Amino acid sequence: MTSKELQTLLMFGVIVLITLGITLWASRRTRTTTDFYAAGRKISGAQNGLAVAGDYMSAASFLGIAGLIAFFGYDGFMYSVGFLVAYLTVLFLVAEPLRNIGKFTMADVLSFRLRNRSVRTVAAISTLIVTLIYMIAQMVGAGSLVSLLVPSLDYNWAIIIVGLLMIFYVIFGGMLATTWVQIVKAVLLMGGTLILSILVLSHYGFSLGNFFDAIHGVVGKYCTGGGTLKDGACSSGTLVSQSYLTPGLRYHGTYGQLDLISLGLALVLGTAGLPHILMRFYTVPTARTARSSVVWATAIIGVFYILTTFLGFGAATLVGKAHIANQNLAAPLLAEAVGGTLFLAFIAAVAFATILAVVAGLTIAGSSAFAHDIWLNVVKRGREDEREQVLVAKITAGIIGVISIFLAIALHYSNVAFLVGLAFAVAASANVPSIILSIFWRRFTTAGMISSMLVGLISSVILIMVSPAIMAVDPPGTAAAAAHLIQAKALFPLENPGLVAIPLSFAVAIVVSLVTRDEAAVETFSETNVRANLGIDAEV
Amino acid sequence: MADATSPQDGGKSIPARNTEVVDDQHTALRDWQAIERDSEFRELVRTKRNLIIPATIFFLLYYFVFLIVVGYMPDVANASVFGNINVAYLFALSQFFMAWILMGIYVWRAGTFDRLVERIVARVRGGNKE
Repeated sequence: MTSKELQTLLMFGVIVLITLGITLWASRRTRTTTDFYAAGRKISGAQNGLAVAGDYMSAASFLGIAGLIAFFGYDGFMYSVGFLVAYLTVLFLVAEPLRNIGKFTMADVLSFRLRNRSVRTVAAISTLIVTLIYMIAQMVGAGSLVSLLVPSLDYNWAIIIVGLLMIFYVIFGGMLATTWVQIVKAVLLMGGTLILSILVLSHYGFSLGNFFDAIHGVVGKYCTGGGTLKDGACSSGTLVSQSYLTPGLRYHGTYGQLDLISLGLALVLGTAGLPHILMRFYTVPTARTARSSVVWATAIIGVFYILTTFLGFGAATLVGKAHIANQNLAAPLLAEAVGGTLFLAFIAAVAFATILAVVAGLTIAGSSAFAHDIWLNVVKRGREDEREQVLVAKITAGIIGVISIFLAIALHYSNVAFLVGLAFAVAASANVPSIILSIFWRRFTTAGMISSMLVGLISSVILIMVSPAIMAVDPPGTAAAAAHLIQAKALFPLENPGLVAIPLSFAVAIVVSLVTRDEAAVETFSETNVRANLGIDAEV
Repeated sequence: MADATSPQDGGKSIPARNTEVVDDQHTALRDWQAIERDSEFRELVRTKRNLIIPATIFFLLYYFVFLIVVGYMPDVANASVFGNINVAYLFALSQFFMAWILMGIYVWRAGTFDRLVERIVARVRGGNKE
């Protein structure tokens, strides 16, 4: 084992010890279902803001965006913008009503007016699907990170360790441990990113002008008309060379431009439909603290995403695309280039903490969807037994952990950023129309909601399966890791299904609601409206 | 989706009776329809709507205009502002400040909602002893 590996393992060990300590502390404070799912609703606005930030800045943000910018220049930064602006949707439309109406899960809000077990079932299934996709992305990221930095540790073992740790956090520490793991991670990630950015800037004498001149000098190439670039020549189309600061290296041509809009739509709406983020708003005591947690989160996340400028473009200028074998490792490689191996070990450990915090948040969202929505409200028809519920939630957390370990091992070669993009698109299409309409539209019916959720879920998943991200004919000699899953011409031209699936889901919700009648839903809208606005009778 | 955010006040005739349901979500029996008709409550919903709908339309427009400039208007996007810093990058950066400023305005205005909510809740609780 090399000293680089030892340093990395040591740093990882420190992170694991801190998080295990938090879990043990939290386990003594976790008894009831409210403790387990919502940390007793005693988290403050600032703490929850940090935890939301910790839950949100996943492997896709830290490793993924840096890699995308390092490979595609400006276009990678579009993710940073979309991920941040999305919090306006959360603040204006979702956070406060959700806290006022719901109890533990996304389905609480959806099934509030439409008191229907099928609504809960569909919402829980959607939660589980979005959560699992998101989780696999994180675990594949962890596996790649560990197996590349600590080659003596096998990819599969890395996945198993991450999986077991997350099961441990959730089962023993519940939401309280998860929250504090996220807070610690957010602080570490912000610190690491800040130091890395300063080191990059110091390379340019702390002159933004010099830095941008250097980025301007980096040239990216692509072929028009979908041709592939090989040895400086295009298989078809013409070769375009442009600066890394010029948009279009990734999104060019008619479909590329549409894909940019599609991605933007999925990102700006998707966050409001991510179950693990929504669930965080139940951990604070009131709607007012839910509001302040969004503001805190947005302040922190905004600074982070602005700093991705330095991570991504820094990797492009100081490391260079040619020296980055794995896109997801652009940020760690940059850390090594500007700070040496010890700093690399630190940044890798921060990335590892990032992944641990996010998978813990996802596990608890998934386990609550099963235990609270399906088990308690569908199977047991609302007859509550606190001890049994917590037990069921813990068992589910274990099962989710094991399933994601297997899926992450099976999907070894998947692209992390792509999987997270898929989760956002599915969340935006399946969940967001129903969440918004159930809070604001009196005429929304049970049939409208169920059909919209199913259409959103199925259409987004199918469109992704037949998109160029999955379907393409690779040129001969493509490595297995880079090959597309289905070797045929794509049936749908866009990589992101948002532009079609989101409007479709909204349209189905509205049309089906207008042609069906649902007296109970219309009647209970008054209660929804009053409670969403006043916070009266909100869960405490 | 801005039009879907407006509750159809007064447009429907709502049966004037309680929804007599008590379960884990619906803890108390209240006359929700009466509260909904309350003039102060209507004022609350109206002032919130007057802030949220324009703010939502504004940020979505600002964001999608940005996407269109980046995707479809290369001449504008590539125009230089300072040296090599172009419109595309500054427009992206401005989205962050736009979000922070809009949030600031929302939080500042939400203080007014909170006071109104407190007044209504005190009245509802006072007139409806549990």
